[in-house]
Amino acid sequence: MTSYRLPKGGLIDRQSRLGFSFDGQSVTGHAGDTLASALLANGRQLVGRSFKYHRPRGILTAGAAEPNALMTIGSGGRTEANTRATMQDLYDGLEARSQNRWPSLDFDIGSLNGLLSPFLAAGFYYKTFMWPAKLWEGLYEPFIRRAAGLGKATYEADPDRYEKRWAHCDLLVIGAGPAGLAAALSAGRAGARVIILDEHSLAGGSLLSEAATIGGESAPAFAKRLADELETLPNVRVLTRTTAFGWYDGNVVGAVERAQKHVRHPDPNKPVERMWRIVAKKALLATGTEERPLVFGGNDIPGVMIAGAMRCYLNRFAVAPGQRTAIFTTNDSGYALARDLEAAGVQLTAIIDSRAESQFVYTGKARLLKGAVVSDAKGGKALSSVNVTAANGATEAIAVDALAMSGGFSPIIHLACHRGGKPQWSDVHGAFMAPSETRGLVLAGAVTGTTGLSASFAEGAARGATMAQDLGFAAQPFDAGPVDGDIVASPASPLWNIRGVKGKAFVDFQNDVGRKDLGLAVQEGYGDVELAKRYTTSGMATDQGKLSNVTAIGLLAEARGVSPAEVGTTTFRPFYTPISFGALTGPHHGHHFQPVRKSPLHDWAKKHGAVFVETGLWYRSSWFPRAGETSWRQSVDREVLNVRTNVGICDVSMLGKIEVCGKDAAEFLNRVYSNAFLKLPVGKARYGLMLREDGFIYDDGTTSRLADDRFFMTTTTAYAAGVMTHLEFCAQGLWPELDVRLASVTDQWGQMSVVGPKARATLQAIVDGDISDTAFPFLAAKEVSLFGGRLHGRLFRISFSGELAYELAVPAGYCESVADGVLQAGKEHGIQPYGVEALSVLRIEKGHVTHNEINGTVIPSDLGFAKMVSTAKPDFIGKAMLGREGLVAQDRPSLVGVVPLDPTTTFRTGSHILAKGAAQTLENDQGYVSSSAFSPHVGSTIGLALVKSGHARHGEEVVVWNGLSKEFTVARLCNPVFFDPANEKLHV
Amino acid sequence: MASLIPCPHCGSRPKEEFTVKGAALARPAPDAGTAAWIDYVYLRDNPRGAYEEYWHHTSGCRRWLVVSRNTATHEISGSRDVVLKLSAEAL
Amino acid sequence: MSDFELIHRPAISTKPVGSSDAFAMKAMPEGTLIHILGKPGAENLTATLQGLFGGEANRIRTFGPGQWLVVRDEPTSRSDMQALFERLDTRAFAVDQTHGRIRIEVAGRAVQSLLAKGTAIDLNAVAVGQSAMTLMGHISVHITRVALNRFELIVLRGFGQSLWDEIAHLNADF
Repeated sequence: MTSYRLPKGGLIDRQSRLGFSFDGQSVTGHAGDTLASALLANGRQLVGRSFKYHRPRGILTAGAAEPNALMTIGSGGRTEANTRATMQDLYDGLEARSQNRWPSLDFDIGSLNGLLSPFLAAGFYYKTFMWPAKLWEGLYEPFIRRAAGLGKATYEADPDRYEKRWAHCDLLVIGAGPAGLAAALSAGRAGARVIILDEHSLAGGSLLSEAATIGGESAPAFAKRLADELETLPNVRVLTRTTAFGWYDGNVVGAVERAQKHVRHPDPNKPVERMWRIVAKKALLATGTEERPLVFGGNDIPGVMIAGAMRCYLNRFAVAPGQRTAIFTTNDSGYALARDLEAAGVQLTAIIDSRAESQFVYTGKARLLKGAVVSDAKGGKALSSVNVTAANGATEAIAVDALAMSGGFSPIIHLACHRGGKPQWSDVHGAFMAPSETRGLVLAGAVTGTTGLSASFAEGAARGATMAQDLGFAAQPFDAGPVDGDIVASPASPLWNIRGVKGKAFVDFQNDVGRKDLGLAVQEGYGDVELAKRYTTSGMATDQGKLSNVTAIGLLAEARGVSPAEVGTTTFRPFYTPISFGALTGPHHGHHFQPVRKSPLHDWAKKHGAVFVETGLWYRSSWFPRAGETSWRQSVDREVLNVRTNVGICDVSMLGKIEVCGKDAAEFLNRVYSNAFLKLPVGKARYGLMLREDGFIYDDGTTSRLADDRFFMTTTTAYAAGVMTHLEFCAQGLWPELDVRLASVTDQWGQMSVVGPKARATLQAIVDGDISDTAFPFLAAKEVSLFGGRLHGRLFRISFSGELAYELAVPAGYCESVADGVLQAGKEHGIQPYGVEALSVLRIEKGHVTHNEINGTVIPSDLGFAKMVSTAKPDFIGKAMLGREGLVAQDRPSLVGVVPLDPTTTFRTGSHILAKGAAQTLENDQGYVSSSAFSPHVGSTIGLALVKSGHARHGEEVVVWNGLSKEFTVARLCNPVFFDPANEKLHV
Repeated sequence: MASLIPCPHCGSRPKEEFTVKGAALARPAPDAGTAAWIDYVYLRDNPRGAYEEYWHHTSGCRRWLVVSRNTATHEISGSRDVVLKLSAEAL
Repeated sequence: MSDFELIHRPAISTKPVGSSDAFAMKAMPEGTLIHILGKPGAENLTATLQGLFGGEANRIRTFGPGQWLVVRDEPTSRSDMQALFERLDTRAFAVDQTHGRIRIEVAGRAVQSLLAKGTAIDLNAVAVGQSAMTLMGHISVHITRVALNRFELIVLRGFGQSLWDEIAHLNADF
């Protein structure tokens, strides 16, 4: 390949030599290159195939809006598809591959789609593939997906580190071009906390491609000096390779820093990308402009480039765009490029200026064709000539291998519109401008329509200083000094439709949307900007139409005969450029996906071989397998039987625990529970039901009175956080007149259930006081002294299993030791630890409910708790709504037990209950099994179910039907209390 | 993404620290009658524009706040403690 | 079982992280931590609490309106604690949280940068001796600036190790 690298100039390190590969070919570049500039320097113009027609495409821009040069970078888990070559810094060893071509970029079978293009115009999906529907899935969609595509994501895990962080500042400057640098210096020198960010690898923006001098210094050197000074200020943070992607409420700006995307071997201890959430007291948008392409035939042929991009490659990267160049412009900016090309010794054959009249005096050597346009560009994989239509209609072909185009400038106002503001069309600027109301966000430089370096410096400096002054800093506007050689491109009228166009003229390069497609949209009644977008897919590619939207609006406006103001824009939303999932995820994946909440008995359970299950953020012990046990059922059955015969110990530390204090604590509880708590004696526990305002049960648990003005409440594990929040709402929002104070003590107390006929004998060995049935009867709840007064805990005689049972709460740091003590004390009684599976079997056997039953559809009477709804209390949460018609209906589903007639058969939770003989359809549904387990006590599967009028149907034969797995079991409804219905065991 | 909610006790904090409950309505008297209660429990006005909601500063001071939010723009203009005489304006 | 060896197990079992001047993290003694529940909106009890529990730096920390945390490295005996609680009288209720919440100290030049990876608080605006409740990643923490480059994080015991692991992970680049 020919080298297009110029012998001198540019911000590249010519001493360095970076080897990289493109589609397997080895090539070299220099430090300071982007992948795009290195490819161009190597004469590589064809870099990709277009999305729909597979047309050969080259590098069009030098920045974030690049629609063509999308490549897959890296390999293995680091493979990153759709990387814009214009934004990728070159590094030694970089591997780049072109996309959407087969078998190769130079010979792509998919380009035959171009021949089918009459059939692939806008709306072709809707028209062609409507019928028959079956063919859509089987034929059309796979075909379209294979033919039209982007890069492929890797299936391998990403090995790299990502990070998120917050930052706070007085002034955030978005864009480190002339206006941004001047603003940051003005505020930073005065001591304001400043963050200035820029998406490129160097600060400087347009200064990096500028040939003008500032105070006698070259523009890039001047930019470097400013950036260096900013770096030395301790109150200023300069972030390069950082894209601000969104502006949010509270003046928060989201940004992604590509911290290590430009190195071959990222430091594993540092993130490759860092997501910033920046809270800015004030923010300055100095994002400059996007130069618009022109819509002539073949405007996508490799070799056609945006004029500003060509200038950037020429001046910043010392890359000649071609050997014979031409410029097609609608404004004076083309002359800056003309001057620089000629200065660099690149042959410029012609300047085609669409304006018949212009003020600019061109003194170079190239032909100047005023009032002329390029109607068509010619060439296949590379540009060979352009057809020019002169003012008088005459046409002429000019041989060129590179063409620059400038269709005017669109301010990059995206961020300013993210909080709902609509862009405003300006005839003066020929562009959409930022909405006037900007709430904490101010604009400066080219983004406001300001033209020229001097004016941009001055505007940035003035805005930066004013904002710092508003925040109390004695800031002075930075003075950049005199600028020499700046060609100021004053705004010119846009040129939407170009006369004489014959070939395919593209508007949206990435989605292959042409001028004709937009015309077709208007013709077919989809001329509204939102409809045209969806009908043609213009602006819907990964570049979100950065380059194309304004042109598309201009063309729609002309086709409809209205102003672009009337067409308007679609909505600007974050993200400004695509953001990786890695950056959004940050460190929260794998082990750090979510926090782990550990019980103080976690390690204790582990050392006894527990199998854990995740419940919310907790890890709970499910069962404790022993040697020789081959299935979980064996372990669980053994644990259940051991509890019923001897004694078991179970970790219940995850129960929510709330201390309710205050003079009015009893009255408060009386209002949050449906049953009475006012007269609960000190030293006693009571089971309580908490309802929602709509009358349905919210949660249940036991609450004990420790003193007149102090209660200890327990909640279910799942609703612990919710109950605390609910109680705080009641205390603060509903009844602030009550003196009640709430403290979550879930983590203060480790809690264990000691359950079974030998529970008392076991516990008496470590509890100092008398816990006989007389001294410590059912529902006693008291502070107790343990181990000879060395520790104090809280003991509750409550039972979830129907057995003689206690819950012992001890300070969490001692919990494991106490559990060890209980095991030691219970050894002679055959104590064994048991997990939540056995706990669940024991409670189903006793007919106790959990959130399986309290599932948001049940009221107290459905569960047989009608007596727990106080009729005496004037008010409690849920009281007012309980009397509604549907809630007092006789045939409401109510709690009932279910057993299979044949004990060798079984059923599952979730199965439907059907009347005997009823057809197996959902219309015949009578209710469902809410909990089920194998009961060692009964000797078969048992279940709890919510069944229509269930309480009145004990003994009835039914069918348990699982339509999903086509199972049905003949069963009988029964009393939900399978174990000790007379409650004799509780009181031993 | 990050948007901030002003808390009269803690200053502006990201919305992740908060839990929203819904419209800030006054609880009817126990004997207000079924219609008033149905209104309170189920019926919402859903206006376009200014709206007051209960938000809980769950991972902060754990106070309940009345937050003023615009339902059309999602913009939050300020908040006040549900009972204490303290309020905050958005940044 | 008066001869049973009763063992206290700290919530953080891992060794301290780092000891560079950039960043270091250690678990603080599980000495004394008392939650004081005053009446929100009523009197500021800081002075009263300092009188009762001592006026040392960072002993009394604000914990939302009308609430405070009393923090000591040394344990307080049950009888002393009861006596102190009684002296609070009707001004406030006290709840022993010595085991419920643990303290982690993070310190060093880079400590603010590290905490900014988890919390949205502007730490520049938190003066020495000031506290705030916030989210650190996905975990609620109480942060106190105990010195210019030293913070104490108070976290629910059950989340202690998880918070520790996350900070250790985020600390890799310091």
